[in-house]
Amino acid sequence: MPKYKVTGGDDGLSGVEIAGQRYEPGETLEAATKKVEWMIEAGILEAASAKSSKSEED
Amino acid sequence: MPTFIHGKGTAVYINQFDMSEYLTSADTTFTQETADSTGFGSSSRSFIVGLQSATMGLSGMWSADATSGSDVVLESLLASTTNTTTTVAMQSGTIGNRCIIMQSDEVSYNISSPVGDIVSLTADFQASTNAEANMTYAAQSGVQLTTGASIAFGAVGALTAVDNAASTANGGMAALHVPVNSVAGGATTIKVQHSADNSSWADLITFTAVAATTVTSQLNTTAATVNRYLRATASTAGSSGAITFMVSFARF
Repeated sequence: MPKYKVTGGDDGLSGVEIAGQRYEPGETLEAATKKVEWMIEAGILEAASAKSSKSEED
Repeated sequence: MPTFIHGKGTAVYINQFDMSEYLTSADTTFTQETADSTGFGSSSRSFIVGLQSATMGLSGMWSADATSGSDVVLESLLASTTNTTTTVAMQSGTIGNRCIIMQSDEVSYNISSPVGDIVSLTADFQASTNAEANMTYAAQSGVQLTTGASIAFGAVGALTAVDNAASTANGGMAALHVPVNSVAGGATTIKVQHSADNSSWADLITFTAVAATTVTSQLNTTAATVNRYLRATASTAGSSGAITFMVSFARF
């Protein structure tokens, strides 16, 4: 399964719960894309290989 | 056939106080200003909509109980420069039932002492966004995300989800009232989470952690898209006691 990083959302503080497991911002998780699609679209998760928006600004 | 509900199950929370036992009526009025846009040649008036507003009138029984009695609470609010957070929960005790959340200023407080009846009170509140970011409306209908019942420190967790049937794109506000808290040994963190599938959840609003044995209230807003499902969740670092908290959420 693909790996995703928890971005924290707009405020950078939002964690997620997937299959009963809690993940805080900055942590990486594995999940089926279909299951977390809405989180990716909302910017709460990003592909673990993707650069963070902060490093892109840098 | 329409479904009606009785008013007897209403609960009213004002800041960190559950005022339900003192109150007998809660009246909320939402208003929409209009501006006359009638021009020459018209046969009838036309209007365009302007600003929205709301007021709330509470009435009930006067009590001199210390700290959380109706008199001490409502009198202190009148002079307060801090906005009041109020939740009126209809048919309280069941997650998903409706409520009204309001941020307001108390504008009047009346005490009546008739010779032939109980000493009573009325109080009026004017909704105010106080120009806060993301607060589209200072009063809005929402849903209850907790039952308002006491939960032991070891039993806090995710509560039942509420299905709105669809997501909404205009943000919302969440109210937290903690009228009773004996959880000792650590703080309790309460959140509102949302989900598109009732399976995977993301934090939508995280209230400031509630310190041990502390009663409090908070009103937080978000501008984000609010997904179809909502729930309240809590975790605690405490090691004993119980906490009673009311969480509700209104979509803008």
